Formats: sequence, structure tokens, C-alpha cells
Amino acid sequence: MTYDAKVPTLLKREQQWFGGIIGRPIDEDSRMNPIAPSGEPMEIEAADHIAPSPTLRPAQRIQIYNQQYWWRLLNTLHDSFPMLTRLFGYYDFNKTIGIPYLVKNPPHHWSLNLLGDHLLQWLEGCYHAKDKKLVCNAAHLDWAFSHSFVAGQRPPITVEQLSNAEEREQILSQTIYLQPHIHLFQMEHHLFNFRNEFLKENPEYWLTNDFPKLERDKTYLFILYRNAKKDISWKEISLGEYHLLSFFKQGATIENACDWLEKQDDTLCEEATNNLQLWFQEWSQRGWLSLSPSLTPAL
Amino acid sequence: MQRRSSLPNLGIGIGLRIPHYEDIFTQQPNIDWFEIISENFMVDGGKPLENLHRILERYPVVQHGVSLAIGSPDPLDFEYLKQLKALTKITKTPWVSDHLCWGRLPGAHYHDLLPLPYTKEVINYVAERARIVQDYLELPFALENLSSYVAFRKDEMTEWEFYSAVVEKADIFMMLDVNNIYVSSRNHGFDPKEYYTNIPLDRVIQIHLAGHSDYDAYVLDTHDNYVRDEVWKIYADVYPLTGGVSTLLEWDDKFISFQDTWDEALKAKQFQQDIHQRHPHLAKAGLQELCK
Repeated sequence: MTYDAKVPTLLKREQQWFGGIIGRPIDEDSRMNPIAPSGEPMEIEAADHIAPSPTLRPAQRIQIYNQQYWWRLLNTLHDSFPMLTRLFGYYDFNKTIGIPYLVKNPPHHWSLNLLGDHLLQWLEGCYHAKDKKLVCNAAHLDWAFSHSFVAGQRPPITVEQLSNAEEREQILSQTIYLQPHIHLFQMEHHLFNFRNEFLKENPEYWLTNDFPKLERDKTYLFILYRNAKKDISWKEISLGEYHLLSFFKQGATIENACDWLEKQDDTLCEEATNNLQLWFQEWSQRGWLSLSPSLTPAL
Repeated sequence: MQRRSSLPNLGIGIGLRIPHYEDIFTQQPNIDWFEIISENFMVDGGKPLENLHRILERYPVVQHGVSLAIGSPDPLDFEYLKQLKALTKITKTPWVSDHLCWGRLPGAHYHDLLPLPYTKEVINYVAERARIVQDYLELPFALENLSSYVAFRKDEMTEWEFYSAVVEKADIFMMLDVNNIYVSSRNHGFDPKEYYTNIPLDRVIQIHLAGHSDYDAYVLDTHDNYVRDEVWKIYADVYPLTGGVSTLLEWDDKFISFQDTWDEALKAKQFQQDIHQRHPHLAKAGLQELCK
């Protein structure tokens, strides 16, 4: 048990009241809800708690905090989900996604980096428009970019380890994990190119201009990762690479992966057999593989 | 009482912000020190920490936090403090600061610096927690005065009485934001001089400067503009009374070029030099001497 100070009753009461007010959504003109959660008019209830200033009434004063709360959180979502924000524009994003999401999922952690960590899940359950698949993919991709930027690092398997026969033998039987900054995508459209083009302009621009071309002539497979310079990068990968990397994302041995491959169709099995060594060399050079599920402490 | 004299005056610094990284890394400007927002670097990995290491190769860094929320009613977050302390081992920060505010309820984070009711009970509560934080971090700890937009009916004293009592009872330091004094003076209708002549200035270890936005009926602490003349005037008054402490310009939105930001921060040097020329005894003596 950790020692801490006893909370004064008055402090707790004022904070619960204050938090209850500022966490409620503002309207389209950024005004506070005129009725307090108790049912009283805010003008009257605020005056019980807040003193007037020389220029503002109590309700006007607490409205500043109500606005700041929502503007800050919505801005954070715009930054974390830049493609999703552009698909809707600021106004529709806030109305359709930002505010309803934050009402259901208020911030739960001191880090604003985690504000959107339930957004994809929320969209899957609560967003039902025709473009749901595109919207969910956009949210997934935006979130992967944000997550990858600050994700942890596991001690990587090195090329030297792979070139040593004894160590290579040991690696064969051990569980292999992907670096946490790696995300794999299977999509019906080339959302990566689309995102690159989309982010060149601000959300207002796309309200009055045609969206970039969205290529959709096949199933696209991508890997998103953090490169040696710690920048976020991506590339298209083959079906064999996608499946093998997906295995390691969950944690798997090479033997497990090979067993699975043997049961697949000839094309996939042949591709993997022909390229396995090259793939492992590339993945090791890029530091994507690890034998440890634990992160290297960053701090 | 902890002694400020053991802490360095780092000179003039600016807040380290992403839009300026490229200029800093390529030009390696001759800046006295940088202040970082601790939480921006309390991450599992990636570019933020790599950038921090590059900065640390060349510059002193001081940690300033925004998420401690020391006056919140829920227990102190020791997972947060553990990460904060781990970061101090990397930065070698000479002190750690955060705000005299609250910002959490059980299960809810408001991500804002919310004002506290100024009562004796709250002084005891916050001071006890501030002492715990300082002991845990094993570093000098300072709390910063807020820009605030409300005052509670139940307030029993002025902000400066509350602020002074908390830092003295906890035996911690003050991170004095002179822009916040000005913003709050406009929002609450007090004389800024009343504020800074009634706080223990020998506990000030750092001064913050920033710009604000004036909406006539109220003033917002936006950190997106040049420091206003009224704020420079407060700085010119306060700086000699502290005996000379580390000074930092915060600029967090509507960024201007790195050079322009640094030029704005360097205006503080002009005020410091003017003060030293006009009152050479002040910088040495500080407030305690003045009060004799």
C-alpha cells in the first residue's frame, strides 16, 4: 500500500462537480449545455460554485474550461487520425466520430497518445454507413502510424546470429516475435498511396476538391514499420511474406510457420520455399524479428 | 528549508518543440538550455527519445510536466512517477516542475490544468503530496502558478497566499510563470504587483515567459504569440527580486521560425542587462536583502 494524503471533502465535491460539467459536449457554436446535470439552469448552479469576474458571469467562466476540454481532445484526434479527419472534414468528423467516441471513451490515461486507442473498435461497433470498410481501414492505418512512432523495441535477431550455424539452429526451435512497431495490412485498395496524397492538403481543402485516386484493382498487402532512422515507412509485400509475418506477429516458431505453409496451396508453398532464406535475411537486417516478447527498457 | 543557492542559473532557454528540431540539429545554435515537456518523452521508444538523446549531447535539459495533476482527488500515480523518474536519469535535469492544479478524477483525465479551491485544507492536501513527489523523485521539485479563468466561492484566500503556503509547507520550489500572473490578474481583477511582492521569491528557481490572447472580457494563456509588454514589465520587476534565475520562453502553437523564437527569448537578456546596470546590487542581493 502506498502512503497518500487524505482528500478534503470540499475539494472532492467541487472537483466532481467541475469535472461533471466540463466533460459534457459543447454545442455546434461551442456553447456549454445550459442545463446542469442536476437539471438546474447552469447560470444558477454555476453561481453556487464559481464567483463572477469583473467581466464574466460564473457560467461564462466555467464554459471556458468546457470549451478547452473539447477543443484539446478533438484536436488530438485530428492529429492522431489525419486521413480519417480528411475523409469527413473537421465539422463532420467531430459530429459523426470525435464527439460520440469521446462521450463513450473519455480519456483514461495521462498520455494523449492513447486517446484514440479504442477508436477502431468503436467504429466497428457504432459506425454503420456504406463506407464503413474504408473508414475503418483509414482509422486502422492512421492509428498504426501513431502507434509505430512511439512503440517499444524488442532486442532484435541479428544477421550475425543467423549466420552462425549453432545459433541459427537454436533460433529454429524458438518462438519468434515481430517488433511492436510493425503493422500488417490486407486491403482492397491502395490506402497508403491515397493517404500520402491526402495528407499533402489540409482537411478544408478536401471539402471542395476531388479526393485523390484510390487504386482498387487487387488485394493489397502491406507492412508498416519504423526504419533505422526511426521514421515510419511502408512497403507492399507478397502473400507468403504477409502470412509468415502474421504468424510471427502472434509469436511462432519457424517450424510452426513451415508446418502451416506445407498445408497451403502449391503456389504459396513454392513462393515461401524459394524465398524464405532471403526474407529472413532482409527481416533480420531490418531488425524486425526478436526472440523476446519483452521490450528493451527505453527509459 | 531547501536552499535555492545550490541550484544553477542556467541562463535563457526555450521550450523544445518539434517544428524547431531541424534548425537545432543542423545549426546547433548557441542556446543556454532547453526545457522539455516530460510526457512527450515518456514513451516506449522511437523518434522522440532519439531526438532527446541528440539534444542532450549538446544542451542542458530541464523537465517540465503537465500530467501530474497533484491536486486531484485520486491517489498519486506511481506508475507515472516511476517513468518520470526514469526520464530524469537520462536528462540529468537539475529539477523537475509541474503545475499547482488538478486534472483527474477516478477513471477520468481532463488533460487540462484545472484550478484548485484556495483553502487551508487544500493547502495541507497538496503540500503533503508535493512533499511525497519530491522525496520520490529525489530531485528539487517546483510547482508552477496557473493561468486561471474561474475562482471558487469557497476560496478562503488569494492565489498568491495559497501558492506561497503550499510551497513553504511542502518545502519545495516555485516555477513562476509571469505571463500566468498577468493572465490571472486580468481574469480575476487583481494587481500583478500585489501577487509577486507577496510570495517567497527566494523559492523561485525558474521563470516562464509566454504570449497570450486577449479577448477583452478575458485573457487566454495560449503560448502562441510574442510576450506582451505588460508581461515583460512584470519580468523586469521580478527577475532582480529573485536574484537571477533560469528563464524560459514557452511557444506552443502558431509557431514562428526557430531564430525568431530564440530572438524573442533573448529579449529577456536585455531586461537582465538593463537591470544589472541600473541596480547592480539587486542581482546579488535578491529579495531577502531588499526586505531588510
